[in-house]
Amino acid sequence: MTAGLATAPRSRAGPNRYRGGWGWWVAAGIALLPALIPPVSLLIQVLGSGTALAVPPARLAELFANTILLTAAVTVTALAIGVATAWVTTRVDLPFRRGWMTLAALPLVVPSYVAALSLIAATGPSGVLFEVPTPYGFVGSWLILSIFTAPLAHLTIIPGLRAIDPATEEAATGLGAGRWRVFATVTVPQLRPALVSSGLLVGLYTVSDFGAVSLLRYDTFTRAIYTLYRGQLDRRPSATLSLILMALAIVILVVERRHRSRAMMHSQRPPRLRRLISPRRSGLVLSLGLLAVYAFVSLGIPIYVMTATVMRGVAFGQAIGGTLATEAFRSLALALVAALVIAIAAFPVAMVVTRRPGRLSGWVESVVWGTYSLPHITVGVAAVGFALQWARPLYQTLIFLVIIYVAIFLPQAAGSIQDSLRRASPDLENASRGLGHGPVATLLRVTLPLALPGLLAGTALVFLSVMKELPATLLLRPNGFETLAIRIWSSTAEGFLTRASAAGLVLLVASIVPLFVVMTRELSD
Amino acid sequence: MRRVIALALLGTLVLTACGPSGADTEGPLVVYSGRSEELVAPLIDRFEVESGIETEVRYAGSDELAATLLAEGEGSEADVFFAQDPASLGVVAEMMSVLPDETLSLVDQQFQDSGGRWVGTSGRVRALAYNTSTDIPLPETIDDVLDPAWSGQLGIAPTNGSFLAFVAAMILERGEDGTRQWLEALAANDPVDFEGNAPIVEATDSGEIEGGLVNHYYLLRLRAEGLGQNTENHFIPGGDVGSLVMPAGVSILSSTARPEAAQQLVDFLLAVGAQSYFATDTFEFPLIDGVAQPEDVPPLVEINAPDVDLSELADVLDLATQLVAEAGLV
Repeated sequence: MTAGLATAPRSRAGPNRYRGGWGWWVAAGIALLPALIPPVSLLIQVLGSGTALAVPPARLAELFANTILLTAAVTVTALAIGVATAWVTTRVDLPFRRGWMTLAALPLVVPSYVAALSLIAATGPSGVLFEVPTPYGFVGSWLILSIFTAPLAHLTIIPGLRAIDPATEEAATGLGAGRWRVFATVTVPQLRPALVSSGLLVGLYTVSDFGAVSLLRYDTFTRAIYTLYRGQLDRRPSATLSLILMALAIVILVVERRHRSRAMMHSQRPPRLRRLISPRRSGLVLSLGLLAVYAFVSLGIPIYVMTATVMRGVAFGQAIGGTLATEAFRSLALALVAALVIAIAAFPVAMVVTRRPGRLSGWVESVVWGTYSLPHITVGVAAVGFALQWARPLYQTLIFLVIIYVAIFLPQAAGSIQDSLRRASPDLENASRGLGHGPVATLLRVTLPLALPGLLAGTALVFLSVMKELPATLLLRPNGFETLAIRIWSSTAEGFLTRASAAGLVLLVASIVPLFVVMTRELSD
Repeated sequence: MRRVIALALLGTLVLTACGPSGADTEGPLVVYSGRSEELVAPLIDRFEVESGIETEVRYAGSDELAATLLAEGEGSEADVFFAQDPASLGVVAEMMSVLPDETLSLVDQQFQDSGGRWVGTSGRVRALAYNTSTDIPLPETIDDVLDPAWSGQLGIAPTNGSFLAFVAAMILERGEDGTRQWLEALAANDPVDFEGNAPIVEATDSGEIEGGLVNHYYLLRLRAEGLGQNTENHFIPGGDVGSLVMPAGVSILSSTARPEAAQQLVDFLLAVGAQSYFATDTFEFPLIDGVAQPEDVPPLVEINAPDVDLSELADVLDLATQLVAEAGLV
């Protein structure tokens, strides 16, 4: 144990309590403010002008059922894919391991409707690959969303795997358990917090997705909400449905919290460097095969479809668009800045949730995850209303846009940071304080390094998500500030296929390098 | 981690460089454009060069921009609203100033607001894009698309602004009940849902469906991309809303700080140069005299367009959306 270390007196509140002060609550409160804008706006709207149900209750129940079915199915498969890719790229000694790790995360940057378009182009009538009876409906939606949200799980589980004490697995192996048994009985239980975070991220993202389900013609709640925003100036129906959706998300979160493991998973000693598995030929083939198939389906097919479109168009004299370089720079700059801001904002929220579990931190989580589940158009419209009413100077500025990104994407960073913090015993922080270090020093020298893997994973997640974000960006951006995501959407809608595909390819290429940089050693090794 | 922070700081630098230039003391001319950047950016660039007026454009959907303008109210920074359809223009007509007679007289009465608050800039016609190998007889009137032969084979975009404007025009033509009946019959005929007009034409071309209700120029756009060989436009000859002509249009906000510059842009859009651009580059119908019609389309005068007062479209737009939803099309 920690003999020889002067231990600070344990807080009376229990072994998981942290002696830190109210500073974290204040910081968490500030970080929370953006996430409050949409629900408060919606509530004010509904309380002011009343609710309106433009959709008959029977249809509403049908949309509900469709949404739940899709969410459950996607969560299971996306998690399965994510765990597989995370495990293989963290534990197995592969050639170009970090490269494969990056490639497995990259599909998150593909907007869901682009993914759906690629599927249709590849498998529909006159498709380039093979024809399936129909790529539309539940099966297509389930497939596309699973494949393209798996990176949410992949990036969240990597730091989780890293933190598992190798001794536990080695002990099991030493006692005679086979590879799969060790995985199921030792690894997975310790991965539980990361699995739960991943499940929430994937599930609530699926609830809010519009791009894929609209193209693949699967009727979900969010699709109905988007429809209500079109061609109608009365915002009450959309506000009503959005609030119902948010309530659904909070119910899911409350259920999860009730079952959340209170187990102490603190490692009592510093994580030992783990030796990677050197696979035999069969293992190598299996691992690389898995990664290659996933890369082919998630990246290879869209790239092929987009490249074919560009080549055909250019042969016909179509331009690929002179604004691509500017738009790429803008997207990258915005995404990088937002990723950093959100990682910083998520930190106090994660601290409060892990170190001070209780009713208040429960409320914090509900707001943050609840807003995450809202369709982005709802958030955007609420934000515009808020800015016009209360913050006119901020209207149509980049600062406000980043603030709203905080509202939307906070859980992606908070989830991973939470997992990293849960691993680390608060004793370490208490000990640091007990030894005389001030709160800032403790933060910098103890807490931050412990949370670093989670911070990096969260930064990567947010970076990719902001690169492809569309509805809120459209509503809140300054005039003339076009991003790659906006270019892809606008060109696709108007039939400028060459320009749309060129922009899509640029989006992928532009995202690889920053992503690779973030996948540093601190994240996975 | 340090590399990540360095990248982020670089990003901040780039972002601040993207801020407003502030060079023009008067501020740029702010245009809210419901017409996409791909279509109109070359035109705006030309305007900037010819007039020397710095222009800033906000691109988004016409209906969304109309809602934004309403929300922004008097304090809106926008000077000009350039929209894709008359319904969006009508929704915000009260915020617009009346255009001068010289401008309004350039364009036919039916392609402008009855109160003079917006003027059409180019004509867009509803059409049925169909696959040339289809056996289904082409419709003579809009009711012919309700024929069981079209079951499961007709593409529509029920959330698209042009479709909603088409339904709104139908309400003006045959009243609420007549429109409801038509929409319900359409829903019963199993139409195929799409997000927009371009996907409908693409699906028609690939053989996924036999045809769909679109705007005429999407086929021509597709042909420019190297596709579209299997598809043709059919202009419904019955004289009903099946061949509705919907002009894109422009209006000037009465709260504008730059009325002369705004007027210059309107004049530019109605001049021969811009009108020819619409004909040759976006495949739309020019609305002033003396400009050649676009290729591969029948002349506007030959299309039996219905006699609908476009100024009234905005009044029935909400009803149109409601009827579409009630019919179960969305």
